[in-house]
Amino acid sequence: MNMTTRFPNRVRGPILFAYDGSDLAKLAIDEAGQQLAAGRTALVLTVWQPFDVGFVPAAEVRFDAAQVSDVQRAAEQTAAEGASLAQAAGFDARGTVIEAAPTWKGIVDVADEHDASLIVLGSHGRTGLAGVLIGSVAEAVAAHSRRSVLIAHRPDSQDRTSRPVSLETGNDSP
Amino acid sequence: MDKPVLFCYDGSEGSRAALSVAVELVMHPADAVVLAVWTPVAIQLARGGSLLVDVPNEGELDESEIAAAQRIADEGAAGARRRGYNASARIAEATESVAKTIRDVAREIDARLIVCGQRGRGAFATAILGSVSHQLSAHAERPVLIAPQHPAA
Repeated sequence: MNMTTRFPNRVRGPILFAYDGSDLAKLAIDEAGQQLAAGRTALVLTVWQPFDVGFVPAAEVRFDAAQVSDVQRAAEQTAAEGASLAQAAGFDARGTVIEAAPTWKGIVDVADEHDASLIVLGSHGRTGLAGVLIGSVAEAVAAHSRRSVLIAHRPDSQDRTSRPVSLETGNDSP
Repeated sequence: MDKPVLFCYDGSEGSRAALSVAVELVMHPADAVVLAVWTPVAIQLARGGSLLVDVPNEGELDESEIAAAQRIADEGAAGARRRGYNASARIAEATESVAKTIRDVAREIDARLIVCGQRGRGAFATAILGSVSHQLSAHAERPVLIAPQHPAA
């Protein structure tokens, strides 16, 4: 029996977008829309925690981070915003939220619960703390999940590194 | 969009699984490059902590590493073609790190996506996950699809 018949649902599970409302999370949705086969169902997940929040509120949303119901409501709005973006990118998408800490565990658990065929996220989970938390959520999800993970990167990161000096080129150099 | 998909391939079960996963998930037909990275024997020895400075048949050993990489890349490209990709084989020498070599090749071919297995023989997994954890924002710059060796059912 081959792998395909042994895991018949693997292909059909939704794509899970870990969406924290950051620019990079938005970029990841766009990126997935361009890379992936069209017409997939998608779940847009915003992970939240009281106090720490863990996501970027949708525009004009004000809330008290200590009020759990407020944080959850704001997270739902962020997830809904992500679902709209995913719809626009060609996915049959809906938003969902989960209270979880650490964030990566919430992502891995929801992926398992829905038998996600792929987890999509940005190379860092948060804005504002870049340099401190870069890669931490993506790293943890990739390390802990037994599902495929697509990691999107900031498009400008290339400019920060020098061009490679030595590269074994083929015979097609210009 | 004609940018190729770059498959990191080392012949391991994990890198084979990555080819299959990509077919399920990633838009195709598409151009693809299947890359096998080889590491010069002298560098392998140095990493292994060997104090051997001169390997008498170093050149010969490197030749056999190159030949092995080429076989692996050819096998991977054939697999990718069977799965509907317009794939070519490519080998590259890891002079610094496998991650950097992959990054450099991805730049050179302007890959739209890098696909690798989560656990290969070690090198790719460590390189990519290592770059995810430590150098990703600086080094990987393109979308990376990491496929698990044993997908969850």
